[in-house]
Amino acid sequence: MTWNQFLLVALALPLAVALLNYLVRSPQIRKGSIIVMALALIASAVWLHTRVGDEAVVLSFPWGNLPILVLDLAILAYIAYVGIERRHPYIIALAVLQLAGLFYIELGLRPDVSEVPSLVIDRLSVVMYLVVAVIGSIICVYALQYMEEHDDHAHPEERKGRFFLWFVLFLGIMNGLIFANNLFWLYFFWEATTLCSFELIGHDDTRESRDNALLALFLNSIGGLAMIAAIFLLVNTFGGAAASLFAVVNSGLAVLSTSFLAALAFLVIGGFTKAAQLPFQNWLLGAMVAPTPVSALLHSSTMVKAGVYLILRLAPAYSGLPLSTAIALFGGFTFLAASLLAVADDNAKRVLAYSTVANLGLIVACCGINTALAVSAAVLLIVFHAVCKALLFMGVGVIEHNVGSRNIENMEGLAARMPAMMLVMSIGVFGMFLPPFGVLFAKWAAMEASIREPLLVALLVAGSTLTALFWTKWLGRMLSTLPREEEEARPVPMSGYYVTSLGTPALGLVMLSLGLPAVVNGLVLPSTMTWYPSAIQGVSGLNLAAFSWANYYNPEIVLGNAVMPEGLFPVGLLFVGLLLMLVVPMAFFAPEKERVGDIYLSGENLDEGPLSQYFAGAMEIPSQVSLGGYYFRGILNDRTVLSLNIVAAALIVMMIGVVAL
Amino acid sequence: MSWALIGMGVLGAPLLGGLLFGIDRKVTARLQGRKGPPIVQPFYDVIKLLAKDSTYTNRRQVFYLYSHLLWMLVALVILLTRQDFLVFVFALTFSEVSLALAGFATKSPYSHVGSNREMLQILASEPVLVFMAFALYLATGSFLTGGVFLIDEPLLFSYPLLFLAVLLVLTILMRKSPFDISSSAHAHQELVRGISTEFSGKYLALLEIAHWVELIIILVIVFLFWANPWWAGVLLALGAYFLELLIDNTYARLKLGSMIRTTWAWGFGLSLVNILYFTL
Repeated sequence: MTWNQFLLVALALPLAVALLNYLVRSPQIRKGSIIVMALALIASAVWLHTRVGDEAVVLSFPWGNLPILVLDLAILAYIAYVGIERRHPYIIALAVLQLAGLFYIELGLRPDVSEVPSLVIDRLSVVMYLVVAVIGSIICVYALQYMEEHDDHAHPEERKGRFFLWFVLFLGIMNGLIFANNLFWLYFFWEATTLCSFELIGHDDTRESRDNALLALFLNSIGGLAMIAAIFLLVNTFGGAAASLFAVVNSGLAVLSTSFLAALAFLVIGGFTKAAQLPFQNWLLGAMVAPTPVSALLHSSTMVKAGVYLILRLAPAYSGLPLSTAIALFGGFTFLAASLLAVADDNAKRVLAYSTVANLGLIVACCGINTALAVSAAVLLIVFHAVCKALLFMGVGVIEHNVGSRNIENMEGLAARMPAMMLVMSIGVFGMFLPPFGVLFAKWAAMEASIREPLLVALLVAGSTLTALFWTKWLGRMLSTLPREEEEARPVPMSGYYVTSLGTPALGLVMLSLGLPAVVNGLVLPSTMTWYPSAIQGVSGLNLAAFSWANYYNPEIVLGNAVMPEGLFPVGLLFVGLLLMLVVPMAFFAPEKERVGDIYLSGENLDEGPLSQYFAGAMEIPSQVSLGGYYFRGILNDRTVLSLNIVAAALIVMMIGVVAL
Repeated sequence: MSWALIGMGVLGAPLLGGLLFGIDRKVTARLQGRKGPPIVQPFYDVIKLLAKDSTYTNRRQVFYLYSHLLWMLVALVILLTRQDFLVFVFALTFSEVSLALAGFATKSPYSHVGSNREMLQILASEPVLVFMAFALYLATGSFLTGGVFLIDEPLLFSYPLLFLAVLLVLTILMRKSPFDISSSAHAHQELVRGISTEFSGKYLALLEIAHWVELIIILVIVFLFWANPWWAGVLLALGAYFLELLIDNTYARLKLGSMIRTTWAWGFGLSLVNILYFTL
């Protein structure tokens, strides 16, 4: 395969499949074409992984500059049109400002970008491409089944054609975004993801979904404007050659001029909007009105990951600057604030959304810490968070279709009704915060790296504890079943599409965590090696207690006459723990030989119904047991949200202030 | 040293912990003017529980109870092999989360109340332990607990405030008044015992054994504050243990909100002030 053929698969194939499904509305063609595309994308990701070495691949398509510019203008014009049609003055203003900026840059400054490579593919792009191609494809397969069940009576095939147009297109655009180097190209893909998410969030065409789609368009337009401002500052000060992402990253231009720093800050703020950091989080929370595959896609592999990808990519450029510290504190604050808000919500998708915001905040904090360990933790978080979130969102979608609600309280006793989904959700939730899974490893690395900023330490400590609280709370609601309820319940059959699309990431999560040393050595370290050559050391093998462990930290701290590593993550030992956790109950527990007891209801149990969940209440009236979770609404309410948003906005202002100084 | 140490730890910790619980009951009885049970009474209790016909209410309850004990042992092994303290805190948290899930697994009002409170106890205790990991790093340059055996000045001297915070948290981890809110050992405060309401027979025994291991873990945490020379740490740990017994017998339990406020304001505050003071 040549590079052109690869780009045909990565960019043109999704575009072609998207158009095909829009024009030909046949279920067979839809299923066939999307499954073939999914396989092709996964195969191309594997090919790319083997093909790209430490040296970045530079691809230039100067002929593409003009069409890209025309498309940029077309998207902006369309956004302005949407603003006018929906009478949203801010969207109109933002679109017009971006148009004016783009016209001024092109006609006023006339930058010569012919020497700027259009696309650059390095190891970080490979990691991102693996995430987008594999996770995105799995979600596509899931969407095939989900959209069959999704309510749409009037024009089912027509609506599905429209849905898959934007959905599949999103993958192609995301692929473009992670390869783009020419800032005008990057800007085009950036705006195109905004457009795709606008169309997908508004897909159901209800009042709520249209309003939320507009909100997403509005908030992401702020990011678009920030990016235009950054391009203007770069081109205006340094000329056309500066419109290159890798030039900015390698800071050949960084004479620490204010305009360069301001451009960096604007690019990072653009990343914040896309990554739904506070105070921009509302578009992502609103996005959950869309069909679940859209949420899964937005949260795991596309859109929000584009935001943190840009911030991560730029990390070497702001390394060592006060800007970096400001970014770290901002990310840490978002991590804490979003975790806090997740505790107070009983809507499963909103909890997942807050958790996404929190984890992206952690990634941003890692970029801000800007050490080899921290940046590696950021890459790891991107990978593992994508797998976990895709799994959890797809799981919630299946549950929602069966339970008829996305409220956590209504998922009570899910363990009995849908044991398979319980397993899937448990793996997903455990994957997010428990050992030995990858997210926890990344969190460990992030926390150990945060020691350089004591204030950040406090933010991460508090946020991380709250994370445990809301996950356990949710898991607890799903686990809560009556004695014998599972034996009485009739299992819900699962479609083959669901089994494939949920089983792959669930199994993948366990395998990736088991192979953590390989993931770190094979994917993460190479992706950061170029800019962080002092890279952390991966030591694996047999040691002290004959457990294998991964030691990703400065391995030689001399203390007295002993030498010890700075930190140690015993992957092997923790997996032994996990294995014992699965094996020991099986060995010692024979359910058929033991008696199942009734629940304790102060001795007032009544014999009504098969599950004996009634008790004699006041006046001897039979009452049914009913339970609920803790949500702390007294302390955590809209006022909390407002004050957290204000603090976040103040932090952003502070960040710009840091640049100005 | 390693395998023998792990073996000794995994087998010895419950025995030592059980014995200390026996002493606890004896001392408590004496403080209350009673004669008290023999010191080996906790072992009699567990043997009796193991011999009983066991009933369970839910398969997942059993699964998570085993998980509670197993991860407690994993945490102990991490501590004994002088590994990363932060990883130890994560393993301990997993153990506590498993216990909460075991309580949640049965749709029973009392065990749910207990589990919710257990979650809040984790919320109250985990931050201080994580801060301790950072204190270890700042004092020794490594997150590994092995470092404290090599520094000349005990951790206690540079982190007196953090030590106070840890003492506060110990009360929570040991499930002692005034913070025994998820399940209290004192019948005068609780007629139905929160989180363990639905555990019986050998599963209740599992929980007891996990408590014994937990007690040893707690004492090791205190020990780390003065690990060089080792006997100073042992004295410190025993001192802290008897202090907790005294507090347990002189305080009634607090309400949920008061516990959260106290531990977050004082525990979090003292630790942070101490860490900031040390770094600046």
